[in-house]
Amino acid sequence: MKLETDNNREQNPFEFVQREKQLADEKFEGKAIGFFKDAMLRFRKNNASFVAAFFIGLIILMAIIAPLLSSFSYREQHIEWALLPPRVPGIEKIGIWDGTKVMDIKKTSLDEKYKGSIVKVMEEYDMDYRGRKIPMVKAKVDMYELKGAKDTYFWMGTDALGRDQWTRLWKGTRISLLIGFMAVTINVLIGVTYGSISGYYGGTVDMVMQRIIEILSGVPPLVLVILFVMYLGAGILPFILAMIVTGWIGMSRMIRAQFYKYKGQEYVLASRTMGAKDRLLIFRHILPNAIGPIITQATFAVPGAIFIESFLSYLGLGLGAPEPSIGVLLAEGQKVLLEHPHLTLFPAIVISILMLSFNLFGNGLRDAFDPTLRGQE
Amino acid sequence: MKQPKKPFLVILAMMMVLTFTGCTSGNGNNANQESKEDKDKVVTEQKQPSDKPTVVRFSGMSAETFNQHTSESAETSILLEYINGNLLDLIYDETSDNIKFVSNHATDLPATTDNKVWTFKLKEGLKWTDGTPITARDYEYSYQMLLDPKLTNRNAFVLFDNIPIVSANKYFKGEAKWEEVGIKAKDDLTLEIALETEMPEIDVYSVFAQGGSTSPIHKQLYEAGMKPDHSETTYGTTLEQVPSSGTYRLSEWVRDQYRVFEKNQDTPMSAVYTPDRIESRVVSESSTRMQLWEKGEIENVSISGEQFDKYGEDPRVVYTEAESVWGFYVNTESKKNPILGNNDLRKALYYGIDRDKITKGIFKTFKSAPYYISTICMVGDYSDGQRYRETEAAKANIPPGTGYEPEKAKEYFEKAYQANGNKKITIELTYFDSQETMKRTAEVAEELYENLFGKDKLDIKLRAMPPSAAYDAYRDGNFELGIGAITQNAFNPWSSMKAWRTDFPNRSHRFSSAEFDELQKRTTTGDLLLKPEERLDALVKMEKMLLDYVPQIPLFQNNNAVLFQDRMDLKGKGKYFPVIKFAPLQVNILE
Repeated sequence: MKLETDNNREQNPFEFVQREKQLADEKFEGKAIGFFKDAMLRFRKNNASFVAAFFIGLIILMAIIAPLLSSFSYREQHIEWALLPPRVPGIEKIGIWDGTKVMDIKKTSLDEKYKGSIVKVMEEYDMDYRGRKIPMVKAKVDMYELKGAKDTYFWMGTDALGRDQWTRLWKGTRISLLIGFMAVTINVLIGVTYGSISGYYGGTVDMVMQRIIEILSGVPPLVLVILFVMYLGAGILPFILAMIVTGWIGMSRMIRAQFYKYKGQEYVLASRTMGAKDRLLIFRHILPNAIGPIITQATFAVPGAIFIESFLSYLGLGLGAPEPSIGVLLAEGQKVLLEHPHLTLFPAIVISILMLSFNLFGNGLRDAFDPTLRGQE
Repeated sequence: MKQPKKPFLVILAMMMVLTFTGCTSGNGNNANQESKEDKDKVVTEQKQPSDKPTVVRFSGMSAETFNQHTSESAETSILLEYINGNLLDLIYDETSDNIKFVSNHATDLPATTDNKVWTFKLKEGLKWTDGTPITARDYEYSYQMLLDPKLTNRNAFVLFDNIPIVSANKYFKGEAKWEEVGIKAKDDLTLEIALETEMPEIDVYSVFAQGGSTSPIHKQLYEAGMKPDHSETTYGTTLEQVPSSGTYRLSEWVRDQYRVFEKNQDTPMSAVYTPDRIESRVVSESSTRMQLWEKGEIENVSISGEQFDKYGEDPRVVYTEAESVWGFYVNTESKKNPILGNNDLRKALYYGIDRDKITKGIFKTFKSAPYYISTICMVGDYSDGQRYRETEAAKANIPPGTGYEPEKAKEYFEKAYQANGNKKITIELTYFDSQETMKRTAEVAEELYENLFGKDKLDIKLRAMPPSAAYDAYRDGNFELGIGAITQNAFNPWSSMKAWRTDFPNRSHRFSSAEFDELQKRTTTGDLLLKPEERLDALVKMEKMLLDYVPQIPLFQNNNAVLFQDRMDLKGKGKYFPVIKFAPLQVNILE
């Protein structure tokens, strides 16, 4: 036997290396990456989403602190300072946002009504009216001087009641964001619960619950929201309630689909065999699989809610005065767009950035949470 | 794979640049050039009245119907004046530089011996545009239909409220036969109107002047559109069902978009009204109207408060004088908020609002009004133009200035606060949601009241509602404070006071006084009718009663600034007259 072995050794170039060593798996180098950490890593690589997240953060921060930076409250009126153009310290020196406006005025008014407030006469001409020649001038007028607000600075100008547009815009953004986040949070809670029950139990329960959804979604959402706001009156709460009536349906459908996907899998069966109850199976074992899609869908729903709020406010069905929101400010500004563009410009910029950022942020999250894209970057 | 991206971006950028330059060269540069050329033209050329067919272009709201018996909007009443003739007309008279009643379908102003029976003689050969003759019998039929108890036309009131025609109200209620009513066509050319009481001529003239509810209706078309149960007619609801008895005929009508009127030659008033064609388009947004005016596509436009900074200096600006006084109605019978029944609180609200902040701050051109009767209302003979507000008695009735007396207001408020058990008073203020300026009025009022009386003692809550829903709420008493106005008759302020009477239908206020009701009846249908001095005293007394009770907190008169195109040479040179306004159809059109 020994000879045979020796012969084999000679013929076989391999030898057992582990004979004297203890056999064990090698240790992983580096730390294990969890689901959220992995998502975060991939999210960071998406530059557009990262910038979008920064802008969302910035707008939220401004909505919180910006009204505190101004010495005017959002409803403090100075009627005599109405419709002042923007004026920003520093920038005013280079000729933009310097509180001036080009106006056509009678030459005779130069030394009366406009005395001391003319920055520059740009053009002189005669206007012929009914055979009379009326001397007119096109002049750059310092509106702050004209309206007696010489040492005051309104960074975004004032509205028709002389209220600080800066404070109103950020206060309005705060309200719009509040409505958006509240509506979405409640919709997620209702949608997740409803979708989980419907998807998990299936059968008759699912059939009945889905028919209820179909009836609800058959009602045109805009009509529903309008009726709601008209019945309950304008305000933040009625607005949120109105958006909740059908807003959760999309979320519940998505969750139901997730449950159909996971509820038949072996680990669920195993857990059930071990005696896990329905509640544990739903919330502990199946629902966490849907956390990615939930966060993504909720992110996309926030700008949707803000947009609906703005849209309804724009139609005049929004918040009651004197509360501002982005939609309210846009509705007010649009009516005087040609004469006072600053009232439309700033809310339009904020809502555009907000919409774009939330959508890019949502896209980034969707890709980050998508397990099929793992390791592809 | 990455290479194609750059050319694509370059092409995209080029397309965008081309699009923008396209826009600029199409509009911006040309517009600049044109405006410069226009300016030069304006300076060098003197415009002359045109010999060619002339067109005027107006803008307004949608017209619901051309049936003068059921129409209700201010816009429709303007359009009805174009197509409807009437016994009389009201025009601008150059010689007297004032308004003047003239005959239209009638041969002359009506004759009367006792101020009770008025006889109109009609011209011969009057015709509808389709050739159907118009006679006194058509007028009688028209008034019978206007008062018909089954049709219950909303404008029927002019024949029993504005002037008390014998049994007209009873017939309208179904309590009398037509034979008993004081409207009789004696023959084809004679119409006799019998009144229950003597009436001043101005009241009678104004009922039968200008196209409107007392214009004749086309019998065949009216009957053809009638429902079998005689409860409604489709008359005036389609182009084919809109006949013309006036200076213009409706030639095109696309509901909610535009309507066109062509002149009927050889009608009694065709020499007075100058345009050959009137184009009227539906534009509800004031900013859109301003853009159309800027582009020269409409003849006139009202300037809103926000636009006043820009246009206020324009030499073409003319000013209207409103026929209504706006204010906050107070629900003095509110069950939800009984403190509104407290007279001290209402007085505090009356004296505690700085009206100039609203009129000069928001609207710029409006007039602060601490009173109930508009400055346009006349007393006495319309031709001498004596205004009620300019009489000494009326001046003595109201506080000096704009009625803003903060100290007095605070005193009243303290009393009301005590009456409320020293508890914070909360009041809900209803405003019209569709109108930005109304919202601002409410916001300013909230701020002014809360700042004056203290936020710890008074809380004003704002509630937005569409105007029609708001007026329904006022009628049903589901409101606390609510904005609104009552339109007044410039020639007959006594008649307008009926809106404050206890028996006035659909009242927005809760004022009720037997003494007031009695006095109002005496001035409009009673013994004070033909006694000018006592009638004036009665008007002063009635306004005093309102000022004491404060059923509405009067705020402003909506006097607007209006811009006309250069081509519109207004005969009155921008002077504003009651009813005919700037007489835009008597204009000289310069080309």
